[in-house]
Amino acid sequence: MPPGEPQPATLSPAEVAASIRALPAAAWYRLDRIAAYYARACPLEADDLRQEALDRALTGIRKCPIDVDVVRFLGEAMRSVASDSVKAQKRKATQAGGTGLSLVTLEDAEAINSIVSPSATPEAALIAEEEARRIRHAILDLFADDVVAQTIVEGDMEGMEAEEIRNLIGLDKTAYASSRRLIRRRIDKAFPEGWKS
Amino acid sequence: MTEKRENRDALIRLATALAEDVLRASESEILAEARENKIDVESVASARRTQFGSIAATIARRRLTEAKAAVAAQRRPATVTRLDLVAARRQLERLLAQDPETAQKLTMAARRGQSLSDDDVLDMLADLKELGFQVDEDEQG
Repeated sequence: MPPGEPQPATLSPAEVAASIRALPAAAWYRLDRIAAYYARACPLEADDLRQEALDRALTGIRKCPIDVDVVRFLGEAMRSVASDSVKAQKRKATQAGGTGLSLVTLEDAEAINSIVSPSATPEAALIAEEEARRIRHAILDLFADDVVAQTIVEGDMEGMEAEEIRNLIGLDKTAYASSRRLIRRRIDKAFPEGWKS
Repeated sequence: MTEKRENRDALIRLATALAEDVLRASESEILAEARENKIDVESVASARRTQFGSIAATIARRRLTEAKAAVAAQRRPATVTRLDLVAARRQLERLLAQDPETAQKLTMAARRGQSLSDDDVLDMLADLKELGFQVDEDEQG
């Protein structure tokens, strides 16, 4: 957000806590699924991701805008924790190897101190990267028979917006949503225990 | 190395897209998915609510400890703790003698100015300072 712009109104930690207490069962299942996806992509377990996200929400480290659904807010918090942990692991590996400098935010520093194993080494980071490369290709191979789905997954991996992907492959919203459901189901079936196994 | 590092970032981005799909799914779709995966959502929710309660309790205890420490720090301002203790006792006696009405409000022990611990003396001076009394931090014994 550019400096000088007003901050969006946010819920207090007590209000966030009240919203979380009121979550229906399906919402907790959603959070479990989201934690599982991020856990596949970072050094942390799903339980750790969920707990750290809840901790950040309750302590006010992360603030929930009043117009954002609390499940979405917690999902975003988990994304941030997962992303921080990957950055922290890379940074620790760089420090251990003494091979260079990297820019680290306050959140990265917190992640380093609180949630990432202190045993990160350049070798461990290389292994993690190699594993990520293997998983990335394995996921894409799942859709070798479906070029549309494969393109969508590649677009996701590149961080493309839904509309960009739809325009790229010429799908309407309904067909796109249908493809997305197929993609998630196929990934879940192929990796029931997560991508790390 | 750069290409390899992109792989982990790519997986985070894919996870974000899958998470978005989960968020956009309707409640009935989510419940159907759970049934298909043989997951009892009520059991999941019960376990997560317990976990949440535990996290909330831990944070509440942490906040209480921090609040206690902050109150203790406020009750003993640096200006008062620097006072020589003999001078502090003398100053307390003088202030109480100057204002019997306030002295009446304090405890019997305080009014006597006897058998008060050093901490009691410093706490009372801090209280008096809060009440607007002139506590001389430079007073020497």
